Amino acid sequence: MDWRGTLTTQQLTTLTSELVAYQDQLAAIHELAHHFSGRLNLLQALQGLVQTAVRALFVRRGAALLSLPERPSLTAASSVGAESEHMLASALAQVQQQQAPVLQNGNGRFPSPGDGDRLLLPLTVRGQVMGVLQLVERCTGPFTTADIKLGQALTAQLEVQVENTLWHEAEVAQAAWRAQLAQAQEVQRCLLPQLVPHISGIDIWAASTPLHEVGGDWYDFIPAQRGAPMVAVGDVCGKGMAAAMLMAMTRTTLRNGDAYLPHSSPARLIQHANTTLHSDYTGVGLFASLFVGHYLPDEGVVRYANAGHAPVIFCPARGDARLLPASNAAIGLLPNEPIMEASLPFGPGDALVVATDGFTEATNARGELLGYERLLEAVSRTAGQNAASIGAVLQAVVANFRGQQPPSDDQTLFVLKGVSSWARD
Amino acid sequence: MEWYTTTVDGIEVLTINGRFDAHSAPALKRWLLKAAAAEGSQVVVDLGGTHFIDSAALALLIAGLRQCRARGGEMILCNLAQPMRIILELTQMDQMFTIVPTMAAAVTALRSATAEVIA
Repeated sequence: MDWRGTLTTQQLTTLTSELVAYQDQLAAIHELAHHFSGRLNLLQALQGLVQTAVRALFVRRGAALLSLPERPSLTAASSVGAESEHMLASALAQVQQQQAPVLQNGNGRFPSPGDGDRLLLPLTVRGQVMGVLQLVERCTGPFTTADIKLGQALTAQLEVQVENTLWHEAEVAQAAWRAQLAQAQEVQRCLLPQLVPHISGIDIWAASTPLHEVGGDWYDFIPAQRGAPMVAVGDVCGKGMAAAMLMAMTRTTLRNGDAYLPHSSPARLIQHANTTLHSDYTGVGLFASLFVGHYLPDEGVVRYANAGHAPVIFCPARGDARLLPASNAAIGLLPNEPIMEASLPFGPGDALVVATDGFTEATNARGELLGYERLLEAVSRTAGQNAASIGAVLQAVVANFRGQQPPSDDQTLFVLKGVSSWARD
Repeated sequence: MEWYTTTVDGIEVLTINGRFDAHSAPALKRWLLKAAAAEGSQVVVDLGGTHFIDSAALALLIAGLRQCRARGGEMILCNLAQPMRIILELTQMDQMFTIVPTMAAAVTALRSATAEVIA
């Protein structure tokens, strides 16, 4: 400065050049941001970063490598052959080890100015260094701290772009998955009976609610060779997709068993299902409980077979509800099991309730289970009502018991109430 | 749920307390299938502190049991509380397992099984 406090021509020229350089660098940052605001794939974004960084930091060559998990690595370079994959991999290893930019200046040790200048900048995604930007051969003098800061401003923009791309991809994948689940839910809904058949002498009510979009519970009405349709309730162990796949298979096998048997009966149906499905169930290490009943009005009985299913509750017209135990283990466990059958006298005023363990295993906030006793008591209390009312009361009992606690399993409820043939209560 | 394992005279003992829910313990599943895969392994599952087993947990025990027996070993359940025994009987699931009242009875049963094999 001269004695008047103003700048010399030399100083002014230098200051102007520096200001122009800073303005160029700001423009580079802005340009990169603008470039990223368009819809880019990751490779285009990486290329944009390299081109901008090479210009903004006055280097002869630049290249970048981005290596995200479970996808092929991406590389970009300022010119063809600007950097070998091997050198880039080595650069990535260096920044991963340092967890920071790595700077090497030639400091005039090389014949050409700029040779030996090398700046490595890490690309960090979700807290981990997954890429590197390499800039070599500085044209305008050694790299400085300011250059590192500018480089970091540029790489930060790419990191945001990568993050946004990953989130977008995850959302698209989730939307596709939800669409699949919705379709599976519709398939399973169609596999459940659309109508309750009218059977003279009994009043029927049934409902099935999976825990997730699909589940392993179901009920069915299976046309029988004589008399009323048979009723079936099944529960594949577990829940969700896996249980639903087995549910579909088991429901159809059970249903089709009757078509080919000369004298169909609940025991024969279950036996056929067990024989047919045993190796599949054993292969996946699962099983399914199954109840099949057949109302025979001429005999005044429900013939039934129960493979490992609970709760099955019978409440006579004058009496208390009691559990009907299974006579066989669940299907899929023991091959060639002879399935036992029983006859339950059943007439007007009698009630048969078949639920799945989503009811008895309902849990409240204190961690208590609903259990069998509470369910038996509720059935005894309401057995005088019609099937729909019994069903509604039992559903309410479970919902009230659970309170704010969410359900933890699929829930299916099937109610048979004996009525006089000429009247419905 | 909490669970832990000990070894008593070459017998692997798995103790499960609380609510036995197969999905909440993948590590338990890994341990059980690995223990069962060993040649001639003897496993006791102590359910004294368990108040609830869901069907997926039962399926896991059955898988472990089958694996044990396939390798010439055995798996025994012990210390079941009365409510749990009742449910297993109600569903005929008790047919699938060897169930004894106490740990001592389990050890005796396993030892006599080994003695039979040797003799």
